[in-house]
Amino acid sequence: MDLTFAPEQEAWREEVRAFLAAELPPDFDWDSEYNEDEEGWDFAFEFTRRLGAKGWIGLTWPEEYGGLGRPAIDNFILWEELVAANAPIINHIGFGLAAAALLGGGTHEQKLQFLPGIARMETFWAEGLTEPDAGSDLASLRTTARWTGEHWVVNGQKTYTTWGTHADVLYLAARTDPDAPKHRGISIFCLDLKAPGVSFSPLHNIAGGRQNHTYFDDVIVPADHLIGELGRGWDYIMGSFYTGGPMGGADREMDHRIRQLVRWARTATRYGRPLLEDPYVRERIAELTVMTEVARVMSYEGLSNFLHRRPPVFAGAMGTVVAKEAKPRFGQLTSEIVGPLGQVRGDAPVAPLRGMPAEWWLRGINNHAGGTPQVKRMVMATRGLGLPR
Amino acid sequence: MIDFELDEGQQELAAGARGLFEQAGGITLARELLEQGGGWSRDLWARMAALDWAGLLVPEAHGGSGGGVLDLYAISVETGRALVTSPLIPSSVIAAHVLTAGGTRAQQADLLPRIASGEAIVIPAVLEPSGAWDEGGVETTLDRGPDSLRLSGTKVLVPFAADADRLLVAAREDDGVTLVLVDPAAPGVTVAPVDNVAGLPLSTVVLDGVVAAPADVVGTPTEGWSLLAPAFARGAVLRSAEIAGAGQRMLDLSVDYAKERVQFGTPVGKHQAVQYLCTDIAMESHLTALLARRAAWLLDVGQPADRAVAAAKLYASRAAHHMAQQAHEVFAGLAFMMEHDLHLFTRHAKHWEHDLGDVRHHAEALVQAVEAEIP
Repeated sequence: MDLTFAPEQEAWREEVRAFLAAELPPDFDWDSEYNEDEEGWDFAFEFTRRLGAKGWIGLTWPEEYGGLGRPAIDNFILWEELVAANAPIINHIGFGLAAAALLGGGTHEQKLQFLPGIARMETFWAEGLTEPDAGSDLASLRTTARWTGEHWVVNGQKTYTTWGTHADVLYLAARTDPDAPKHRGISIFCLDLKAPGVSFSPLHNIAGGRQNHTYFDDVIVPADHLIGELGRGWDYIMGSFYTGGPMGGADREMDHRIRQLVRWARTATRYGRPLLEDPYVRERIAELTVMTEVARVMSYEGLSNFLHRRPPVFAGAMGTVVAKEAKPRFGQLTSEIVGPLGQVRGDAPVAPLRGMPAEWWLRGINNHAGGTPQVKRMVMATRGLGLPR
Repeated sequence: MIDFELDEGQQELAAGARGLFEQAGGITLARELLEQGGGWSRDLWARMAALDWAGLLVPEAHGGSGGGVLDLYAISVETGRALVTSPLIPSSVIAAHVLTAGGTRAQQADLLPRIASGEAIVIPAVLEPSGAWDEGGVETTLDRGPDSLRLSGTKVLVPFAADADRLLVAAREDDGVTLVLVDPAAPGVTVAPVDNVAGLPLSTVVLDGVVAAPADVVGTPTEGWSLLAPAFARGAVLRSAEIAGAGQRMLDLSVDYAKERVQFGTPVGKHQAVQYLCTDIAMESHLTALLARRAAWLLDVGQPADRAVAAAKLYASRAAHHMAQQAHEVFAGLAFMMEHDLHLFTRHAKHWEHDLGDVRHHAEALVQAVEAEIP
């Protein structure tokens, strides 16, 4: 057992930290899922482009596809630091889902076509998986892509399209073979969101971000915008959910929030004493810290399993279950620590920590992306423990 | 290279321990010890000691094998899985660590080789009726005379006291705590076994003006807690490892049963409510193991470990109860009967939950560790 990073890895961590310290204001906190303010979006675009200019978006990808060919552990470290600094990185669908599908199943030509643009943040991707009748049961999706002999023609509807109106292209899952079994007839495409026949209707989420219904009316997709192999879309979707390379940092975000809370609770007073001396508050800080330690060991175990080619535990579902069950609890415990003013948003003078506790709590309610914790429990029970389906 | 798994030697140690405990009777032995009383097997302890496990934390110069906390972690997961009760943690870990770090040459020469061989059992007697696991909980008095000192107080839940060669008594002196070696057969010492949920050999030890020599003091007077704290940390991590091992066994029992037991025409394990119970046990046993393993590694490499140790035992203490409770829900009436094995784990879990720091204790320790990290 060894959890020590090598000296060159620590040096890399320092390089990332120095970059972030120069690029971001201290205690920066902005999240692309919960904001529509133009200033924040402009800043996030600019920041992500700078990251891309350094080659860090495609850090582990081969150089010919716009990457730097660095080892997976460097990407883990990069993400630990990005998350610790609340870096406003955008395009998770691009460098996460789309790149994973391309690297796992794409041809050389497809990789050359799409990856460099993602690595430099030239194409911003939105997610086109979920449909009104295909949420947890994603494989029942009904959007179709029909081959005309020249190109694909897409019809149907996606929903909860986060970032849709900011994005250039859509990571689209569509049914290409209506006669194939449910999981087999799905393919992945890159769909131009500016193409004729694409329209949106807004869905405003409760934290202030805009998501969308996205409609396709005879939208033409060129033949070379198929990603990976025809009919293997389900494998790519599952592959990116369960076996994507480890990205560190879940613990770092919680750590950062605990530090902010503790500093504040040292001076803020209630019931005639600093909050930090209140046993009720101390007990909750202990709970938050245990959740952070749990996230930390899961993060390191994931990295270790990846590096040593060991399969993830319990069919890869445990990490998601734990993280998703922790998230709302973290938000609520924070709210209980902060007290009545934890409902105040924005930077009103009475708002503790610039209103961030209210945002953290609201984000805890956003716990469904990629599957609800209940669905992940079912996966863990059946595939991980072998209980009957 | 980053690796969260035990190394080959530690995995072999674990496999050896699992084999030995199965051969010794496994859970059936635990049942016999509960039903016949006594709570532990000297014979099995002798066999463990013969494999050098009692001397893992004792330096080689004193007859030990110079191992580390991770080696003991590997064994402790298996003692938990097979419900083996032994003086490994109190004597070979806590007392051995205190004596190695702070004992006089004479104390080390006298006791460490015999602890390492398993012949001598040295047991810390620290907890008092308040139930506080910190330094402030020590109220036993120490009065110094010209050539001797006298100890008076009450120690509770002392394991193996009736079989111990020495008790390592924590007593209050001025503003600190002094550690003193006491012969449990000395005049003024009363050892009274207490009935307890797990049927473990736990006793109340009353010290009534017990006379000890200055040579029996371990470490610097009034600074005993600084010797005890790192030893307790090691013990708490290893208790957590036992909880993890017991949890893995409770998971196996529960999942097997949920697959077989048919109600409403289907295996109960098909019901999501039952699946939730099983996944609870799976997550908690796995995470208890990860947290304990990381804390053990930090202790072995000498990095700051207060936060990791407190988090590990806090989580493990809560999991100890909750995993057993969830397993009972899976088995319902069946495991409420004496003939079933599950309650043996449930009983031990209640002891482990509170031993070497309960949730309340480690929650406070955890917040203090966090405060110390934040300027």
